[in-house]
Amino acid sequence: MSNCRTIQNLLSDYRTDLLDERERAQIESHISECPDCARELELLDSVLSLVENNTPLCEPPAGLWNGVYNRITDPTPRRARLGGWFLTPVHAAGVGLAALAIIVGLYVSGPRPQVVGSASMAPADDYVLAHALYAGQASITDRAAYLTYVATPSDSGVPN
Amino acid sequence: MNPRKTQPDAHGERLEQWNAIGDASRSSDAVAPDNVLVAKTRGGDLRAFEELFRRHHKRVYNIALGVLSNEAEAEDVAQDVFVRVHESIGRLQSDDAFVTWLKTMTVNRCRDVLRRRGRLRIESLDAPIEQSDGFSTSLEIPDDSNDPQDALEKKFLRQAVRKAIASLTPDAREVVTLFYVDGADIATISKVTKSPEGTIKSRLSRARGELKRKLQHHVEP
Repeated sequence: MSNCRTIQNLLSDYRTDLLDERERAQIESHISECPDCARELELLDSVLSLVENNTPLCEPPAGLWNGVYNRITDPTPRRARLGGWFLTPVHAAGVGLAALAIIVGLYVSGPRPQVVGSASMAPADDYVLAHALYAGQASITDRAAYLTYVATPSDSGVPN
Repeated sequence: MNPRKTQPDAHGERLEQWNAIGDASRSSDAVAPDNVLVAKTRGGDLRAFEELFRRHHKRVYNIALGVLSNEAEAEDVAQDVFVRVHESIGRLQSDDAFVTWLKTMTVNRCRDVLRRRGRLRIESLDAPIEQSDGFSTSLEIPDDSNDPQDALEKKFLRQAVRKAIASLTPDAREVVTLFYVDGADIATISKVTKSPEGTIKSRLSRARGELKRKLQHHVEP
């Protein structure tokens, strides 16, 4: 281990106490005879001193304690502060289920569309029926709206 | 030839600085040791917690700033760390281990930020210190010189050192920050980062080689 490049590559390990006794002795022996490697070690030491003496502590922002204090003394749960009750999963699921129950209830309890060509049908009913056939392919909310409509008695007393 | 020649003096000075922060105020809490304040905080004493904060917030902020090189993120980390300390101080096994626990939380929180940042963008190797407004900056570093020329030179050197540290890999930056900024020894860094001492020494050695390469033109005659 007498090559200068090898020695110089190990100088940082030497300063960090990473080498065993034998390697350390070899480096010290080499440096005592090689001015170039001795100068490299001095350079490393100077840089490390530069780092040690030029890493000052910076002042933290003045409001840091207030931020911590506000967070630890605020009794409101974080989720409630952010969005209110409707954002909690339990409430959101409850609202969703209630809406679904109403829609399904309307769909199940409402009358079915009447047969085409029934004697009681007025011209307007043809239009409603055509809409019903179309709504059969539409979303469940359209169907619910239609079924609500047909369940309501018309002026003539006949269900729509 | 002492292989640790460059280490003890700076570390002694840095430890004195931390102690001086603890001596700055003289209420009964201000003179109480950390373990007493930890026990009081656990019992719900907010003043004791405030004293712990006052004593250690500068350390936490500077570790985060060294590892992250970003003021806004360092502030967020410091705030999060102390909120978590307050929430979970009951789980601290030994009151005497408070400072190590605090540093571990800081390092872990910094790692979370780096992971999140890694998902958002590829970090520039020459990333300067960033302010919250996105502009690079030279941080307001305390000026301890009366001579303007001397002060300017020191400021220039400090910026160069900070930039060199910021350009290291996150692993190396973590070790260098704990060693040079916080003044921790290898054994403490090993505990805080949960890495073997040999790994810490290897990272420190590589980082020192890198710092030499980047900074040697500042010290060459």
